[in-house]
Amino acid sequence: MMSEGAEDVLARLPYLRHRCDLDLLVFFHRHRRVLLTIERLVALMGYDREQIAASLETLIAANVVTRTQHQTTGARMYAFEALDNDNDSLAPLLRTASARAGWLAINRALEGRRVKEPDRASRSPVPQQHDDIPNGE
Amino acid sequence: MANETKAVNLMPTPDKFALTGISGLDSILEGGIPRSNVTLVEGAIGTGKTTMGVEFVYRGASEFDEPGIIVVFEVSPEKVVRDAAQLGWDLAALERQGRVKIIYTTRQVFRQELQQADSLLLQEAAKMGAARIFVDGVVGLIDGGGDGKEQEPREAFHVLVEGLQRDRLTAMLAVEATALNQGRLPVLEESIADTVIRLRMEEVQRATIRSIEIIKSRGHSYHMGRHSFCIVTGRGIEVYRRVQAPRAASRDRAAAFDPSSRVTTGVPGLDEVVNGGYFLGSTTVVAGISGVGKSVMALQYMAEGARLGEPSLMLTLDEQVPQVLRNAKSIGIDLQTHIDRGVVQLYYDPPQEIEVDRHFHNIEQIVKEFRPRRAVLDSISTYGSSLGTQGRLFRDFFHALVALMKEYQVAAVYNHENPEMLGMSSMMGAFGMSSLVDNIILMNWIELGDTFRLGLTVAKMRANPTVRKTHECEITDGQGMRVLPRHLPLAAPAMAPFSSFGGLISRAPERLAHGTEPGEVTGGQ
Repeated sequence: MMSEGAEDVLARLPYLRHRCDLDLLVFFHRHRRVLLTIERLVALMGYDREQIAASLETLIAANVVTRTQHQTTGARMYAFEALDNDNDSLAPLLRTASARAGWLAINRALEGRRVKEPDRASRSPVPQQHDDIPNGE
Repeated sequence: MANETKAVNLMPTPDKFALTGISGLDSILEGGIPRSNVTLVEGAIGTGKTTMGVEFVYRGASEFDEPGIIVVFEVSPEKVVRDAAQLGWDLAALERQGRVKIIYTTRQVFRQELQQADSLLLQEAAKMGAARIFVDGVVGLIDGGGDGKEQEPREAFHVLVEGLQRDRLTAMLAVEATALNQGRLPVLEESIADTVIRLRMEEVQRATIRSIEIIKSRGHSYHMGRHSFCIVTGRGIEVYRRVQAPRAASRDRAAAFDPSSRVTTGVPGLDEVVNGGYFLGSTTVVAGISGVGKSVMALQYMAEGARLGEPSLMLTLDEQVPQVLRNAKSIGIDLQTHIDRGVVQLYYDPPQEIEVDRHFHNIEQIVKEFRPRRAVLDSISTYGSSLGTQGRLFRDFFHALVALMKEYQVAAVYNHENPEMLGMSSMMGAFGMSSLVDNIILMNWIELGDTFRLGLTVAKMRANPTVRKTHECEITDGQGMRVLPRHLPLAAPAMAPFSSFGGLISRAPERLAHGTEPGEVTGGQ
């Protein structure tokens, strides 16, 4: 039952492919404006740097998160922008993911999505703009 | 520079001072914080530092059109928003409007940011027109931030302050008091921070109260000492000026009572004894043992005010409002009707663990808004039990209360429970405040034969001629109290009038020889 619900909420968010995408989305929802290095995000989220970079690109491409341009230090400002524009699709997901059972169900659904669509899944992680990540991050 | 040490004739103006908007704090700060000041808010865990900083930014954005930034290192912004909502502050709405931004970062990044010419943080502040910033938890910043480039705390703090001031932000920085124990912050307080506010949790017997103290604040005067504050659900922080703080000049100017206007007592026969009533702005104490009729007199005083259309206030610690209403009804006074008409106000505060600054603040607000012409306080003995008669707390509170009533020209009556059942050996017992009051009325049980009879003696009437004779009183069901004439009419029950006795108050009444009248003592003070 929970799994069906998770699939329903995920259906409206086709860009989510990986568990890291989900976790990062939830993180940015809880921290709507963050000023961090990617190393810090890696430490906070528990994924490797490449996966974090790929998930960041995913969320930025989906206009869920914005990122400031390059600057001299390694930190970037990330802002969660989606909720006001995309409340219908994101709110159910965030609500479901706020409980551990829901979070697990969504993860299972994400896994199922990757099995069903291996080609799309293989594109992630894709650090398409890796050159945008400053050295030392 | 504090008001005790130096008088500064500086009128705070919005362009020079940022009002915090925190209830009571701007009064303590005498008009807010000078703009661009860097304020340290120090305190142990749970003292309210984060709440104060968040409210500073919230009030700025919501009340003064001054957008602000909140920087947090450990707490998630989601929780900041959630906790703020409990206090009635809609930070989420302000975020959506771009008037508040909550930025989650690390101390290391934050410190680097403030040293960068192209700081993202300061760009963000400039973009939204931020005038305020609150940084929650700066101890790690002044430690050096753990980036392997440790600076002296003083140097690190100086860098932080310079970074914040580059954009003319009025800043509030919360710092854990544990750092105080390591001997670091005093140096900072004295030199770099412009304003230092210390929050404490103080144990008072088995209770705990919050206190706030302005340790220093450059560029203006402020009220020194430890004031109280509360964090109130749905409202936020409320600071209560300590009752001992020096009075406003306006209160000093109004310290005298008006010798031309009197208010009548509402007790039949009493006005004749007190020269027609009490002066406006005067302080009257009615002293007597429990059950002697002080509260009855008080209720009649209130009812008289209501009858004349005079706003009348009763402050009660001894009895809750329903009980006061019931007592009034038993002597034929319908106080509820007068309350509904808006001419009478009752204020009850439970005396257990009374927070004196907050209590006084509430009284002050009522007096300012209700503007009573007459007031009753029942009773000062209960304050004595709560605050203790030793030390300065009770005395300072009573001084402040008397000054407040005089400032607003209220004819105030204070009931005082004297523990002596028969007679009195002192007017106010351990309170020792008789010099502060204008009028003292003693209520006594007097044992004559096998009967306790009620006596009333005016022991003091400042600026009034006084006949210090004891008058008999009676309290009857449905009618209340009245003062009987010295010489009872012939039709009165077969009972010798008080004028037939001597030594009534000295607990040794003696029947005088027929036709003898004790010598009269007259004169005012």
